Amino acid sequence: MMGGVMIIMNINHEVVKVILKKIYELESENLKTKKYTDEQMVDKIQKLIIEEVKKCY
Amino acid sequence: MLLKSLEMINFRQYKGKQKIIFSTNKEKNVTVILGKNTSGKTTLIQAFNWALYGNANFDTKDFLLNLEIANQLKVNEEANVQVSIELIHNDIEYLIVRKQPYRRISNHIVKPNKSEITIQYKLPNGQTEFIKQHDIDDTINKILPEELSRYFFFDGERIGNLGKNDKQARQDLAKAVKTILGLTVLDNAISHLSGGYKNSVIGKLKRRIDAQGNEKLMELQKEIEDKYNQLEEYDKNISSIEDAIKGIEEIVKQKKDIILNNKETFELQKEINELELEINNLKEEKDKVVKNFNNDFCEKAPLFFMQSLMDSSIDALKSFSQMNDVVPYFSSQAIEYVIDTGKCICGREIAIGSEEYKYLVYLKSSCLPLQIENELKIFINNANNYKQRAKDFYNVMTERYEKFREYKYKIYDFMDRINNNKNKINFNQNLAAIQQEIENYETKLKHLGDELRKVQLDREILSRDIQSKEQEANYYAQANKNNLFIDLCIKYAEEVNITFQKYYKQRETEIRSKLQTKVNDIFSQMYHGKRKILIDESYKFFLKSPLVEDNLNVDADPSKGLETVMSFAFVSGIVDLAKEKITNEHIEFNTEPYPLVMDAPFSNADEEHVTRISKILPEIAEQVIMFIMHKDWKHAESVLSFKLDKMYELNKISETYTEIKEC
Repeated sequence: MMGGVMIIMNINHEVVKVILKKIYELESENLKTKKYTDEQMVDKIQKLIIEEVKKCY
Repeated sequence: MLLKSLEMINFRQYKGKQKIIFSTNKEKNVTVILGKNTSGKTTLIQAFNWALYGNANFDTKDFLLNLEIANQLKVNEEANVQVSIELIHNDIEYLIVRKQPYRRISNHIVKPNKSEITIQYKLPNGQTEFIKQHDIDDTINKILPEELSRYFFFDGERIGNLGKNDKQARQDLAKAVKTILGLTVLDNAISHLSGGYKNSVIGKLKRRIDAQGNEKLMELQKEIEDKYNQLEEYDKNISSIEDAIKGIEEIVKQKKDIILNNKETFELQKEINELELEINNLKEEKDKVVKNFNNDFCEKAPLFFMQSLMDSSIDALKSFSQMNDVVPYFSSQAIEYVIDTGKCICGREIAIGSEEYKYLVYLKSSCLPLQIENELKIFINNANNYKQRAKDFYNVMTERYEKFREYKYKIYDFMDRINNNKNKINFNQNLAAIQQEIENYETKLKHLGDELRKVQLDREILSRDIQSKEQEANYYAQANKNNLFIDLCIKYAEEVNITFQKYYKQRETEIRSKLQTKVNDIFSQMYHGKRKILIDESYKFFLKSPLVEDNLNVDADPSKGLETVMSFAFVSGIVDLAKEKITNEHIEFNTEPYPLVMDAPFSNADEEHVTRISKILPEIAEQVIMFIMHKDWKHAESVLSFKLDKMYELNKISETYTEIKEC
């Protein structure tokens, strides 16, 4: 059985701001168009976060 | 958004083609359409709803074709119902047309087909283009989402209802604030990020953690998933209990209102119940008195009535006895004793055959036989006993009879009072029964409250347990590099979620506070009194009198007219807030001004309030369109005429035909 390692990685608040804005724009657009279901929105937001975090790390 | 015109073809009582052009003048932004009751004012609001959303809130909502036109149709002939709306949205002119064909399929049946909608918009070069069919719903939603429309297309009944403090009105208001003022976006973002373990971004990221080769981690993950499922059950349970509590609270409030509104009746009914109970007690006592009366009468009445006879008998027997007492109280046994002993009681010897001896023999023969004497004594004794027993008969019976009468007249008196009370009561319901129901419901509420607290505590404990397991899982997860990355994504998602929640709370509090200020600003201009409105976190509003402290939750009781004024103040407050742009460092909240379209808005308002409301509405809304009755226009005219640009009158020619005339 593998043991565990504690590594603390700090949040970059600029990245948080970028993610916030993108999610807000996505949600605003979807409120008007109702193009995506809730499940689809969850997937899109998840993808958005992963992409933004990948850019920085 | 600004409405330019509404055109109807054969829509309900609007036979043929009829059009209203609305004022789009910024200075004179009021359009008034006058009409009597049943002339078709409400139909105009429904025309908007039908054209935009395909909904019409009529009882005969499936048949919109003008009846005269329908009657004229021959078999297989067709006629169309059509409503067209011209409007400007984001500086673009749109023409929305909804059409529905009707065909007579037999002598008795005219059948509607499916309605169709088209939207054209004007390009900068003046040409028009059609919106693609699959984009039409989106376009309508962009212009005016249906859930928003109910705050800008107002019928008289809803204006009144919004001023009431019921659950639906509060939910309406809360939703209006969130939708109109941009909070729905935040709400949705938060829900997508963290709304449940299974269907949220954070939940899905957590499930991406790779536990392969790590038994302990796999075990923990399974445990965490099970605990989240249990948490979901707790949440459902909590929601269900809270709904039950809210439902019961509404019922209790309604029932308390009934009692409050019928307080006098309640007191009268309470008195009736108490009197009925008292009557039952009195009847029981009366019955006891009657029973005792009868028992005593049966037992003692003969003795009572025999008294004089017994007295005479006793006297006669005594005198007879005395007559036979040659020597009073000297019995024949005593005489015989003296004869036998040959000695008198004085000591003198009595010789046999002497004079004294002969006299004693004579005395003895004159005495009554012992048996008869004894019987007489017994009889006299009994007679005296009977007399004793019957001695109080008269007093006791008199007393019992008086008691009987007392009970009888008390019962009559109480029954009269009950009848008087019943005559005063107009209310059919048994208020005492309602009061009992309230008490039962309040007991149930207490139990539900206890149950809720228990489940909430269990949920809290489980939640902490999950946190601790997740921390433990995190520790094991970080052995895998991929997991480090996923963990980082989770941290960002959580940070974004917290930030959204913070903004949401801040904005919602700000907006509610602004709404309260705006509503009171407007209310103070509309209402001639000195009250103010307070809105709490659940959008329940309190009407406060000036002498009552702010933290004292005592509702003043609004009249119907005041409810109307409050409704206007709310609607106006929302519309006014929607005109503002609220910005913060990350996000800009954009909203568009909307028109106010109102059907019979002043039905319940008095002259002074009509004047006051009329003064404010054109200042708040970009465009005001009112369908009102002549009698209400009389009061509003003096104030609104300066803002009035267009005026029409609905001329009801028959039940099936109304004509729109420009004034």
